[in-house]
Amino acid sequence: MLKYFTSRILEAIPVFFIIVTAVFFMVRFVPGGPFDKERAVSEETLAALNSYYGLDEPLVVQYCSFLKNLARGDLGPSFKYAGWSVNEILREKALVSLELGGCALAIALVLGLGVGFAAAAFPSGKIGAALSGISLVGICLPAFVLGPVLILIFCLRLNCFNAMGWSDFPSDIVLPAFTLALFYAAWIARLSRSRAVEEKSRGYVRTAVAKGCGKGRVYFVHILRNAVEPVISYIGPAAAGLLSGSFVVETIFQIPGLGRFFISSALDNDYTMIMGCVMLYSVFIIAFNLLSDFLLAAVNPKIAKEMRK
Amino acid sequence: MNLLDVQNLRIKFSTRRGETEAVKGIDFCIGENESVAIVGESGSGKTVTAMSLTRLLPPPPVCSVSGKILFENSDVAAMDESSLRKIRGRKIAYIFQEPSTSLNPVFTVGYQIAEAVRLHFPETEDVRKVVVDALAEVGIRNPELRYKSYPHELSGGMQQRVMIAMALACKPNLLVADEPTTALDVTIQKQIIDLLKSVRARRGMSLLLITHNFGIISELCERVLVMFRGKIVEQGRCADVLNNPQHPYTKALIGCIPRLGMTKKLEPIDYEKLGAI
Ligand SMILES: Nc1ncnc2c1ncn2[C@@H]1O[C@H](COP(=O)(O)OP(=O)(O)OP(=O)(O)O)[C@@H](O)[C@H]1O
Ligand SMILES: [Mg+2]
Repeated sequence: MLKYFTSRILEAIPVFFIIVTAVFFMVRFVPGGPFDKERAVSEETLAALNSYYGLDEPLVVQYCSFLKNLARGDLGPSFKYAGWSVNEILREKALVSLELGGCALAIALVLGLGVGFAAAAFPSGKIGAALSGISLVGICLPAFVLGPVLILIFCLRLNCFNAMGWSDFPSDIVLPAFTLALFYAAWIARLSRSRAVEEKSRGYVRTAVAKGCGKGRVYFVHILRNAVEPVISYIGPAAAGLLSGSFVVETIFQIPGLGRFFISSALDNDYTMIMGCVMLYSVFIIAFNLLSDFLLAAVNPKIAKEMRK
Repeated sequence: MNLLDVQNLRIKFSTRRGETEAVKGIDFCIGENESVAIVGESGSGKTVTAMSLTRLLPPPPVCSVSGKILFENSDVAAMDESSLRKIRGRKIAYIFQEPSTSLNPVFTVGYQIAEAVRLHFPETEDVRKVVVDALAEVGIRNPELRYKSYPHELSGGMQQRVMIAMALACKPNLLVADEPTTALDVTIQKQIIDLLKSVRARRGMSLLLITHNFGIISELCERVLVMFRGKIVEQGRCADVLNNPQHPYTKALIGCIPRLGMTKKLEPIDYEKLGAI
């Protein structure tokens, strides 16, 4: 098992470097530079800026110094936000996104598994159909619709939350976390419902009933543990997406999170910030996929056995 | 008094493709310590009959069961869920055809047997010991070690032994074995049959054995019921039915058994002729 996960981590390292290298060169081949947009910049100032940040050197030299700094954990200064280093921005914004994303993940799991299993328990009845319908709506409803609708209802009509901002806890986190979570919750509900319905007709369920297990036991002990598998596989990429912030939700609710930097850094050609965001996201993806594999192995001994091989 | 008395049992399925009556009004009984076999070809309704004994069939409207199923004089068909649960596993235990799919893949076999014991004997102090003893009784070597095995780590024969251990752990009065050896290869089949035989000799419990293998009936059972298209067409003591079958279907079935040193060709069953029955 340990061998499996060590080899997975070792495999991830070259992948990480390929991504980093590809992005490094790609952003520099895109026309324009980080200082293009500032209007009143003279030729001399631009040259001075470029040479100050080392952008006038050959690409290979820039790449080498980038790697050298990366080895020290230094991601360099942001080109757009003068006086801030990428490390500082990531640290500050990532905390906000982690908090928001963590809440959203918890909501998505509880809501998704709850609805999914309830729908599986009544597969042919009205309740099941209603729950499946709700989860379909959840998948189709985009955050830029859901967010404003929630603000309209809960802030402007019922007046129970602030419409935007990020200062008043925990009430400021409720609406954005829910907006962010709904799609994931709906997807988890569908995954767990279809798997649980499938598991219900398995032989071991018949055995469990035949030995005298009650309905609750059959569901929550026997079926549940087999039916969470697709949800766990989905959690890896989902957690990476949730925890690295969302442009739409952070913009609607005016939250100073990381999601906006993913988009704005690319628009601004803020090379160092782009690299920082990409690396953070890659690390999340790799780490959470590993974590979900680890959970899969913990839940299903058969998968654990395959990993041990 | 009989342990089990089934009267006018009818089992109907309604699916999208229409209604089928899988069992069309059968009567039979099983006495204390008696061993009865049900034989018949595929689709004759053996499994659904066995399942109906503790209401394991899908609930209406998919499947509707009528008739009386008297177990120790109380009607299973009219029982509420909680009294039914006290019978399932405790009074009537099952062994199914496919051991590999009948065990839950994510729990150790020990846990799954212990679950049955805890459900029916919650006051047991050393559940683990009961389980280990049950595993030892069905001839599993190293039962302490095997307790921690997962189903996929065991062979088919071992898995079936685990199923038997699970069924026996709660000391049922009636063991229903639905084709317990069909999925296993021949040498293992023999071992499982011998195991069932020795368990019965030691414990003295009733057995309902479902099979389409005439060979094992006379080894294990005293009486046999022959089912054909949802009806019992013949019943009697094993030796009588095997040596002197009355019903044409039984004759045809017995005609299909290959024997050593046989010179006659095996006859396929002629359904045209049976169709009128
Ligand atoms: N879940 C179900 N839905 C619809 N029809 C069913 C269902 N289960 C069984 N049946 C019907 O009941 C009939 C009897 O099935 P059953 O499984 O009892 O046969 P069997 O005698 O056990 O056969 P085999 O030897 O193949 O196990 C079948 O013909 C089938 O059409
Ligand atoms: Mg059957």
